[in-house]
Amino acid sequence: MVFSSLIFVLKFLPIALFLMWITPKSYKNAMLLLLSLVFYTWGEVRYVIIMFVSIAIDYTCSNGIENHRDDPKKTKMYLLLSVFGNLSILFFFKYTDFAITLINGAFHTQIPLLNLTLPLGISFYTFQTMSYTIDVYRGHLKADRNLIDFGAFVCLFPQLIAGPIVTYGQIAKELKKRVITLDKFSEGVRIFIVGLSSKLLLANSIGLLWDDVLTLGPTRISTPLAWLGLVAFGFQIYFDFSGYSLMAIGMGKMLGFEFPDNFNYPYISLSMTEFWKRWHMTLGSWFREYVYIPLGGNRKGLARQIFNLLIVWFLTGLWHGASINFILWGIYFFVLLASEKLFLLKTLAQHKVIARAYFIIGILVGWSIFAITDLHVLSLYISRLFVFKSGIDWIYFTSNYGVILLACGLFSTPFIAKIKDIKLVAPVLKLSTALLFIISIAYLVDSTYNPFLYFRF
Amino acid sequence: MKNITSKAFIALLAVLFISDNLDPHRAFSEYEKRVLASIPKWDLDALIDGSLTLDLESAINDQFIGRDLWIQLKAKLESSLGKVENNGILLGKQGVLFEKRLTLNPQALDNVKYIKEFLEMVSDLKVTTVLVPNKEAINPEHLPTGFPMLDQLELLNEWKKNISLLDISDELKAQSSQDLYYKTDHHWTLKGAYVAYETLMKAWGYEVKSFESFSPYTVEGFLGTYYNRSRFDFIKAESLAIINPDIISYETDGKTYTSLINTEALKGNDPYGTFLYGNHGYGHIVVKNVVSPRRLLVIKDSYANSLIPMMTSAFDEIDVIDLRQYNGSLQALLKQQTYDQILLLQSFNQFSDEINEAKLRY
Repeated sequence: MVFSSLIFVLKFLPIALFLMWITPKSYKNAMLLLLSLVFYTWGEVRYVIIMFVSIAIDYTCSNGIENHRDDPKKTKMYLLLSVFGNLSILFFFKYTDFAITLINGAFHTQIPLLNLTLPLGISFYTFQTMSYTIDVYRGHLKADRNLIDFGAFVCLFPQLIAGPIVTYGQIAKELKKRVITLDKFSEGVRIFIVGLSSKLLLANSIGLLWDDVLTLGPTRISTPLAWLGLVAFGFQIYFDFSGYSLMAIGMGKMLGFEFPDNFNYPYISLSMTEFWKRWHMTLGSWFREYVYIPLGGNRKGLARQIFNLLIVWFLTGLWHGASINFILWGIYFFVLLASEKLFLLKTLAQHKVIARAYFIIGILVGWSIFAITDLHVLSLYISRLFVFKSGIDWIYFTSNYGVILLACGLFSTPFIAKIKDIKLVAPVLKLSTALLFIISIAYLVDSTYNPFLYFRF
Repeated sequence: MKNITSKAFIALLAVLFISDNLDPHRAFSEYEKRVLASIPKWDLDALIDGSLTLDLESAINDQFIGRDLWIQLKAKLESSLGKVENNGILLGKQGVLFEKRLTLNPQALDNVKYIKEFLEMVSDLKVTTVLVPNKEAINPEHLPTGFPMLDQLELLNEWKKNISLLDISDELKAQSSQDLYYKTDHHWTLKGAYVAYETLMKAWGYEVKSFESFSPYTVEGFLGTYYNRSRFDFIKAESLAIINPDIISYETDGKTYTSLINTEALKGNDPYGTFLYGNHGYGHIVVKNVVSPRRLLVIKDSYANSLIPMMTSAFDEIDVIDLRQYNGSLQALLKQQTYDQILLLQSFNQFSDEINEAKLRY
């Protein structure tokens, strides 16, 4: 089930909230687990097995570590079992076909593809359960003895399929005891509606512009339209993904959980270093905590640090999708981030205008690598960006999407957050939130266009 | 007034949830002109392969309370945002609607091949092939500024190198200020069809009758297919011109008529269907009883429906085949019958999407 569907917002959510409300305290986690399993298995009954396997592995491993604290051999074995188990599941479902394609290409073999559908949210929950066992191993956490509580953490439906990536430590307290106040619930409702309308009204609408540009292809479009298309894609992916995260955070609050923020106005950044502190923050901290720092981080000299960065960005790229272009996308950020670390950041800090231009061009070129899977098309697209071709096609797209582009631009900045406490603005914002929800329902009903970009990550 | 948002949210969720469950089941949507999905029956296999939940979701969407109103609200919001596009229809200048086409349907290239093979098979017969350009090719000035519409004329020029086409785009262009196409529909008007008539008569060396001599008359209140798809509710209705020439009989689908015009259709959802009683696989028209009759075969889509009545000026018998519904063997028909002229006429867009073009070779 996806959040931005009629069945979720107007059927599943009301039922879930009602059932959670009437369930007695001691059974709330069992009910949450049950609801999460219904949510997860909706349309993909078979894949629930993987979820159970994942729960079983990490429940066993974490408790194994807990029970053999004095035996470093055994604890290490349990840790390796968990990491190996989770990564195998992820690799098998997400990367097998990619690996087969590479092998077939390199050795001219004809190994058939598996053509597996990627289980929902697998990139997210394998990371979450793996980090849990690592944290238990490190002694940061005590293993959860309660299988239902642990299961509820793994399957927790608000953040199951698209993040934010929540580590066990962040919600351990709430998993055992949570208090829902009307204030907190209201805040959750507000955040949920903002997320839902980001996805439906902004991301989906502006996504149509990018779809048209991609349909026309790089050879038919003018250079201004090529740039405009990337602006549209940048807005689409931002409001899509941050919208999903906000819906998750909002529903978390309605249920009494505090999930970490995932986005913090990434497009106002003045460098890539800043961008990655504002974009998909829970993924960034996951890689820092469980890959970069274990590799030695910046403590083993500059050369080693650059190498560690390369590893992290190669993996970050690969995590986003099983395709060459995602690896290139990761490497692209590695190059920019490493250059910033070595010399660029100082220059950028002194020249704000240059920094902004550098950031905008850099991020848009980055999105072209992310969005275009076919490397031939990608190279044509990038040459269209930099080899000028005139045309009037952009006039149509700026006029048809003008209002939406402006709205996307405005909501990418902290403008609303800045004015929300002004006396007269607050009631207006409340009313707008209610209106946005009604408008969102209209768009849900008329959802001829409702693809979700992070669905299959 | 504290926490008003969450109270309103819960109230709205509850009201929608309960009222939607009480709302009676609808089998058909007049507004969308289609059968609505209904709640599927329980089926374990369907649950496991995922189709049960998928069907249930479409049923919930289709049966949702006030569906038509929600869709109208969305259409209103979209146009208030200054968007000139809805459901694949573009709002051009002067209220002219277009179908959004950015790229060529790959089917078109297969269809060009089928025409080429067909023309080779019947090389001893007099066959004229016309692919009628749509309004975006003849009246590009009405397109929204900068819209990168598929260039039909460029493609026609390319295809002409490969297959023999009678290109009528110059003739249409010369008359392009004359409303050759409906604003709210995908068809050409009677005037558009007349340009083709004139060009064909000249090409075949027959006498050309003037437009007025067909005694055209108009009916008002025509809103075409593009209007129905776009839901741009501010679009005004236009007039539909008709000619109703004298014939002896028109036989199709087991019925015999004494006219080519179905006046009943003017009242329904598809007023263009007035011509030839809509589309049928095969039709046989007898115009007059003469000693040495001239015979025509038209293989066509709906564009020809308004052209065929004019053809009665030059032919005494006309056979009409629409590949979409025709299940006989065209080649067998061509062996049995003799025709003075064979006309293959389709509009560019319908031709591009046509999945029955291969039937030309059977």
